[in-house]
Amino acid sequence: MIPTPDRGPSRRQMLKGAAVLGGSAALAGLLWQTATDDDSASPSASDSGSSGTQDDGAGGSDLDTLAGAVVGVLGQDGIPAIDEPTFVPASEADFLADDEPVFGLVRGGEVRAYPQLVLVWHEIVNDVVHGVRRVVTYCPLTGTVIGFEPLREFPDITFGTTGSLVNSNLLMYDRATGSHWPQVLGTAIRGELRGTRLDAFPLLWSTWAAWRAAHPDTQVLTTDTGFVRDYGGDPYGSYTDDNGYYAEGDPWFPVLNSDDRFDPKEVVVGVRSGNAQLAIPKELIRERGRVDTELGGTRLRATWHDALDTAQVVRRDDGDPADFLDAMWFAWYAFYPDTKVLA
Amino acid sequence: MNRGTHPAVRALAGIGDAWDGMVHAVRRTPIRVREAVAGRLPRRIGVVAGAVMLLLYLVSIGDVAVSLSGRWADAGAVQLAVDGLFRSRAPYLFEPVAAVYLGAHLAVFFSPVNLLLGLVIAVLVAANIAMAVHASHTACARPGYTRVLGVLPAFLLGFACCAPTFVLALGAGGAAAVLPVLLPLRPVFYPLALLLLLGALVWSTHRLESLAPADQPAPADWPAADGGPRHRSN
Repeated sequence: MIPTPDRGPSRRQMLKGAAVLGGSAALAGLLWQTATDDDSASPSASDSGSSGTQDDGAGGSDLDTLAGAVVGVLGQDGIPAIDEPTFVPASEADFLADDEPVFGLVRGGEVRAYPQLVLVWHEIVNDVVHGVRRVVTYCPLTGTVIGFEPLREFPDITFGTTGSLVNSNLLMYDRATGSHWPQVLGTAIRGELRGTRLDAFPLLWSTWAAWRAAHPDTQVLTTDTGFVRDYGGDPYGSYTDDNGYYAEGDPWFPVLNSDDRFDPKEVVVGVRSGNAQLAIPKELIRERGRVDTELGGTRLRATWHDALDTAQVVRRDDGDPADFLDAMWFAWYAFYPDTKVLA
Repeated sequence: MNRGTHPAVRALAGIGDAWDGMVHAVRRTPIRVREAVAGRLPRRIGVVAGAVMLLLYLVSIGDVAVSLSGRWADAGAVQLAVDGLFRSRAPYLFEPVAAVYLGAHLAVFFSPVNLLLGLVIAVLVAANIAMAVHASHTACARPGYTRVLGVLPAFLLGFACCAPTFVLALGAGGAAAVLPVLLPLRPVFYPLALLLLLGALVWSTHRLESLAPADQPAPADWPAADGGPRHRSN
């Protein structure tokens, strides 16, 4: 409406304009409120503990700092855990090329290989190994593979992905209490089991050809997972072609601590003993063949296995496996900024 | 002559006028869209643009995948997981229920819900492009790219809402820079894309409405049967 020359803009138009402004402001405020709401309903923190070990995170950051550093990426179980894994003998695994990375497990007489090309889409396998519920976990962003034993109170415990990350690492939740567990730490940072630490066991990062040669009787996890996925495709990069996220570049997500002593994606063998941690560049173990060291009062030996193309760390006193895992340097340091480093 | 009206009052009244203009444009949009798609050329170009958009959307969310190395040579023809139909992986991203391998190089991970969401975006893009083509046939047409530019943010947002692959295409460095900004906005991307595309349609209508009658685009089935431009006035 063109204002008539001798009367100025009509009162009605003015009121309309005011109403539009007011309505827009209210709508904008409402949208902002919705967008900045903390969407993940965090279970209430409590001090109750359970079996496993009680600690404060045994790393650089306390549990509250970690809980405050959670970054939401996908919905819960947007990356679905495998709850009904199917295995076949090595001779039937025609979907695996020789150079594909696999994560090998020998436990209680069972020998299993978990291919990276399957785990990259699921990150968690709730498995039963030798009659015991055990969970095998893999976080593609931090290059870490860790197995966990069940808790005494929850012998049938299973895990899923929250869809969120801490220090760019997979944040799991347990289906018994809904507590949140960063994979590398294995200590719950939120929920009823906050402060409880899972007992971890190592898997060996090898290749299909090497693992199968060393363990001809191995079973291997198949792509028959109950989900439709592009197995063989990898959304992050490639280990076989050494490119993409795995090969180079900075982390994609914020980390609490960083250090440029090594390239962020350089693989270190991280060892934990008591409240102390040690990082040994994997290449160093390959070069030297064997590295003897000491950590937190425990004597350790890191050995290179040519046959499996990987490293293993044992306690020298009893020969048992130490608590060790391959990790990208940035991720190890993010959780353990006080880590000792062997160079 | 206006009495000394306060600039604020004039501004408010201006907003009121703009609101009226927008309401009018919204009412006229279905008519203008119908008018646009009635023309053979705008309709065809619109459909092609919509189809391309749908394909790009499905590729960006990973529902359509191409393997140059032909890694699906040994895959069976179809794989099913029907109970995933309404299971969401991320905002506006749903589980595929079937994998269909078309030869060794092409795979479709079919999610009906993702397809539907993509179709909605594709239809809106088609409508926008048809309007742009239709409106470009005016006597005082501005260069067509300004209208296309208006639709572009909606394209990008449509990808970004559910597309880890889109972000990955930026390269590792790009991802680190962009993800902290994009992630909190994820739940918003798809509705925002819809809003922008609808807004672009209304805006195109508004522009057409404000043209003088002599400058209006020619009626449907332009160009004329003899291939030459229609004569409009006189």
